[in-house]
Amino acid sequence: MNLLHFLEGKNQIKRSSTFLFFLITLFLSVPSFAQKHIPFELKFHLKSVTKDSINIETFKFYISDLKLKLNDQLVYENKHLFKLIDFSDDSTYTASTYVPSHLLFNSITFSIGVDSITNKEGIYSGDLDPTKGMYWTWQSGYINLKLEGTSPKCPTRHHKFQYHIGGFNEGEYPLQTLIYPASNKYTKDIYIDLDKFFYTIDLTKENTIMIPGKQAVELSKKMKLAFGNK
Amino acid sequence: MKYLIIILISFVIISFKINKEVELSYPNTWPKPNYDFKKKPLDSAKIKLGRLLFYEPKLSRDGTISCANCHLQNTGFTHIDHDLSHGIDNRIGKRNSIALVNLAWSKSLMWDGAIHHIDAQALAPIENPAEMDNSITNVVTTLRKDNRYKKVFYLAYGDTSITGERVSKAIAQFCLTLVSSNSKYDQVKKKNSQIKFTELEEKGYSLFKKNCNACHAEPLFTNYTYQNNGLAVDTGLKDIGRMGITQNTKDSLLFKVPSLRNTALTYPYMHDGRFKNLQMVLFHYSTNNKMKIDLGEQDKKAIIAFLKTLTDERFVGNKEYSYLGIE
Repeated sequence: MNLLHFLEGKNQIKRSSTFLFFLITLFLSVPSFAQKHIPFELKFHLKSVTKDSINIETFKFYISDLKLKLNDQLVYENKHLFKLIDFSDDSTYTASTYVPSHLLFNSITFSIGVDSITNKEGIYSGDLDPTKGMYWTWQSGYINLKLEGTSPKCPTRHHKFQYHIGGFNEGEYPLQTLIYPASNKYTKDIYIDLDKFFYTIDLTKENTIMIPGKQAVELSKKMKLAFGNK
Repeated sequence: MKYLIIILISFVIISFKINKEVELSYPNTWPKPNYDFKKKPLDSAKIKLGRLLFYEPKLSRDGTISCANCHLQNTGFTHIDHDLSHGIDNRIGKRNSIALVNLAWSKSLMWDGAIHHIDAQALAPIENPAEMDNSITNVVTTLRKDNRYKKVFYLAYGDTSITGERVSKAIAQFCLTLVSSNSKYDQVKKKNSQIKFTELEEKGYSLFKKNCNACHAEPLFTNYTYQNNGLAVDTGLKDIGRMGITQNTKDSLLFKVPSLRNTALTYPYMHDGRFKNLQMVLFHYSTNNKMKIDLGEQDKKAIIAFLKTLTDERFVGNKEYSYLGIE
């Protein structure tokens, strides 16, 4: 009888130590629950193009490295965000991430494309999977932005224009960073006005740029205008 | 106690997963590989998947050719006797298929360094119209319909999902294991080795060290730079080499220095396969104006005798690299 009591006692100690272990684990994980995270969304809208009877057939680009700042101080950053916005698929118009609630910020920053470090380390899954049609194969590297369509102004076959902007080597690095004012709102609508891009382009000459280089960099700067950035 | 058992079991499961990791073996006198194995370690299940895909003709648009068509193991992972690479529908590419060897040390791939990372390399021949003329998207669709691949992807990646990233990276894993380090040259170089060069090979080796080693640097027999070795431009191909990638005029007509390992097996030579044998290669080096080497007939014979010591029979006969049918 005594022995049985003794054994039960030992068992209880074991049980309570397991319980204690459980409590400690719970306690340690509390801080991560404490801060509530809520979705933050960038919604992209494409305005219709009016210049040069332009018809857009493909327009897709990567959004990456989303940052929120308060008076130029970084308050949130998602370096793992690589979202492919593809205007042929309306389920892709929004890039979203989770940010801490009650976050104060007054500017939003993100890049169009895939940065050099990410490019140098190879290929990835998800939106960065090479099956998404945004990876060059005749030479390696991600395409930041694809814009294709037609205009009677283009002297090319079927009056096509094709822009594949990408590249990650020094001197030919077209990754552009955009900055927008914000006011603590968790949804940001971004209106892309491609007319502003095409006003800087002479379609009779600049109609086919599909390799990295200085021209691609120039093109990427002009594209910033369409996104409402200088 | 129950929890403890569960924790222990999960540790065992995790350690099983870790056990799939494979270390690349190479002589300890060699430099460290360029590939970052710490970040992306070799894994036996991924290597096996890559090996199956390497021999898989479904990668090509009409299902007729695999990687191995132009990269045959028993000829040092290249296509011998063909100056330019062959694709589907008898299409001819613009360059000689390069021998796949010691790729973990390579800083870039292709004759012009077009591919900067081996993880992305397989995408190039898959999508090149003169090679497999397919798209990686279509390859993924085709493989998804093939139930046999579900199991192999599961074992390699932990789920049956087939993606472009996984296809390309698995092929890279297999290609990274193609290490040639057992030639006669390697055996002679080993400490306290009983195996010796013949007199002719020895003479060739000293001539090689004097004249060739600057670019074809030991022990990998390349310094991974791009050079113009004085070849006249082929007016039909008009290949500008490295400049096609960098757009920089100073890179015009530069091509990658290829490794000379297994070189006696990998004829024809040069980026366009213009030289049928090593004699023609050495004739070029002793006569061109750009990179001229003063060599007599006996010297050339000796160098060729030395180059033949770079043939690695164990590598070309290694069963770990050979065709593996999928179950």
